[in-house]
Amino acid sequence: MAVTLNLLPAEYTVSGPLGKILKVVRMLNVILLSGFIIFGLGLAAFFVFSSIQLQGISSEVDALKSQIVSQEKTEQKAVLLKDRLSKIKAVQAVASSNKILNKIEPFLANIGQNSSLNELDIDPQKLDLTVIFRSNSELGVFLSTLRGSDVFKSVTLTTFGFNPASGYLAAFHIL
Amino acid sequence: MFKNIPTGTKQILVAVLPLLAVSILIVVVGKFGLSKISEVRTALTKAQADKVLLTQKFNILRTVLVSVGDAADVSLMALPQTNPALAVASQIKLVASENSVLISGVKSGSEVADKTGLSRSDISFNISGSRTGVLAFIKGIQNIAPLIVVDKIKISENNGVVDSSISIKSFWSPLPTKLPSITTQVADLSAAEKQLITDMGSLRKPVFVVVPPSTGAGKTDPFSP
Repeated sequence: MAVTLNLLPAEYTVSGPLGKILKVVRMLNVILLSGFIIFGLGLAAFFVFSSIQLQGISSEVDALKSQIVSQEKTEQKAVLLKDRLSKIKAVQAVASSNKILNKIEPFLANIGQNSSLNELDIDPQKLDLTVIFRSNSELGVFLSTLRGSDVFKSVTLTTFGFNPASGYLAAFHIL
Repeated sequence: MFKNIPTGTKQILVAVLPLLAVSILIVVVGKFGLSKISEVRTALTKAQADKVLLTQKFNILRTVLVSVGDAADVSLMALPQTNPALAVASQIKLVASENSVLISGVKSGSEVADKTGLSRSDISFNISGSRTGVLAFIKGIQNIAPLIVVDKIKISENNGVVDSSISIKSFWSPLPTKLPSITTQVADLSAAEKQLITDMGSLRKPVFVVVPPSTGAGKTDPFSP
């Protein structure tokens, strides 16, 4: 007949609720320790894998950098070109008298053969024009051409006079 | 003190201590490991981005920007690195002679800082000729290199002869002194930039005469008969 022997002294035995708690705690210990080992190994493996990947790409990047360094002269020219182009655009944006001159030039052809351009003063914002017309018909043609055009924002007749010797003097301020 | 603690409690305490230790280890190792992995992943992401950028940059430098040298020379001629007043004066004289106008009183001002950030010199001069000649001259100087901007024009006419005083602005800018960092992207030329290069190429270029060094003449040995 089997006999159950318990050689553990009575004062060292743990039973009841405390015993259950002890079992649970010991189980948790094992689970946590196993989890820690797996977690640690997983972290290490991922770290090693990422490091190898980084090493590979870093060497490719270094190779590319040395290739680009060999193209330094081309890059210098490219930088110079970009620099000049941006500054040339800035120069082209500077206000110029050419635009106003180009606008008034067709009208100067309508001044008339006997009339003369007394003064033409152009700056990037405005134009002052003084013409001496020998006859009132030439004056009329010029005024109607100017009035019929919408090239300018405003045309102001600032001076108008008549001299029997020279003819009609008309001064315009044009914007 | 520990002798007074019951056995059961002692055993539980002994069992709980490793539990606590492992928990602390998980937190510490986890934090440290995750931070290291995060560093490596960040470096990896950056390296991958650098690789893409550098590959693109190398391809652009190697293939598309092959003719950049000529374009750079053209652009430098249009906007030089030093004061181009002499070249501009030479150009306007050439244009004047082509349009049969007389040019006189050419004056160049000192360097001025323009609003554009470039250096500028104002040049003024007088011309005299027929109305068509003077107008053709003013149009002609718009197409010279180095680039100029016509600032003021004053024209007066008397008995068919037109006298004009004109002031123009010429610009220049020092060359860039630094290359951008190697990981800075290089952009290809846009359509507008290519058109601008074509326009600059069509400008009338200044003619520079290079005087060769004079060679020695006469006896190499002055003491020989």
